[in-house]
Amino acid sequence: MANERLRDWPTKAETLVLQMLQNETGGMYGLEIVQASKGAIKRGSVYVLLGRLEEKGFVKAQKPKADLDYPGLPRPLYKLTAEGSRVLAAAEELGLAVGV
Amino acid sequence: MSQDWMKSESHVPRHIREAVERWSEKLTKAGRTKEDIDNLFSDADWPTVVLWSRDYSLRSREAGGRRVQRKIRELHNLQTNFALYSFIYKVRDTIAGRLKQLFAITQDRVRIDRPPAGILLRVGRFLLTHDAYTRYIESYVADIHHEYYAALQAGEYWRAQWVVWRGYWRVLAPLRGGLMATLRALLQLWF
Repeated sequence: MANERLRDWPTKAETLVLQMLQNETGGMYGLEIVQASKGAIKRGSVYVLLGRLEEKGFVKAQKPKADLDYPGLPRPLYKLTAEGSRVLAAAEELGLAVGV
Repeated sequence: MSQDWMKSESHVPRHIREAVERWSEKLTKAGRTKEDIDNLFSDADWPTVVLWSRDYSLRSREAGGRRVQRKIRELHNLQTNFALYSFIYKVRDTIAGRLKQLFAITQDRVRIDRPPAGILLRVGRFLLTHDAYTRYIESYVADIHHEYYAALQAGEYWRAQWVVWRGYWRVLAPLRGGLMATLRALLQLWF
């Protein structure tokens, strides 16, 4: 049980994403996270990180309804969950981050 | 104008006179006006022909004959090139006209385009699970669409194209790396 919880512990890059999402209460798009990270997170890896965080239950993806005026695919908006917020607070307090 | 000298210059040999008439006929058949022909021959060649034909009449038959023959050959080449160029210009004008027409059509009409990166979506849908496709590919392509339409709205057509190509390139980067690693491993096995 403890090992499973430890496996869910956020990595450095995941912690960075969680911190950015905490600052933006309205949520952020993947591209906005890439731009805000100033090169720390790449376009190719941002959705892998967000997908992992979503699986762990730390973030929630919201897909807006299709807009008739916009021909492209709708972008998912990522928001921090209550659990994600708690984990981030604990990680910051302990100063712990596993790997990158 | 250029051929009038022949009438006044009685010493011009008959075969030159005939050759000039032949070229004129050929060029007229090639669809050129008399002015074109006159301009073509009057500028540089007629005075030379006159001079050499005078030489021909003064010097020995053999020496002058060779020079006149050479000049006739030069003029013949000139006529051939002239026909070739007129053909090339005709083709060029036709293509330019068609392109102008085409641009006029595309500028006036409203085009309906599909959103870009459709191939990427189809390949992703075929290769990946629904969950992975929605999470990674759709989100990634949605970003491409966002940047693409933002660039189009700003009137930056080439930037929009660049966004799409960059999107494909980034997806292919890991595949390129994998392919290179496989090739390297195969080479190491062989040698």
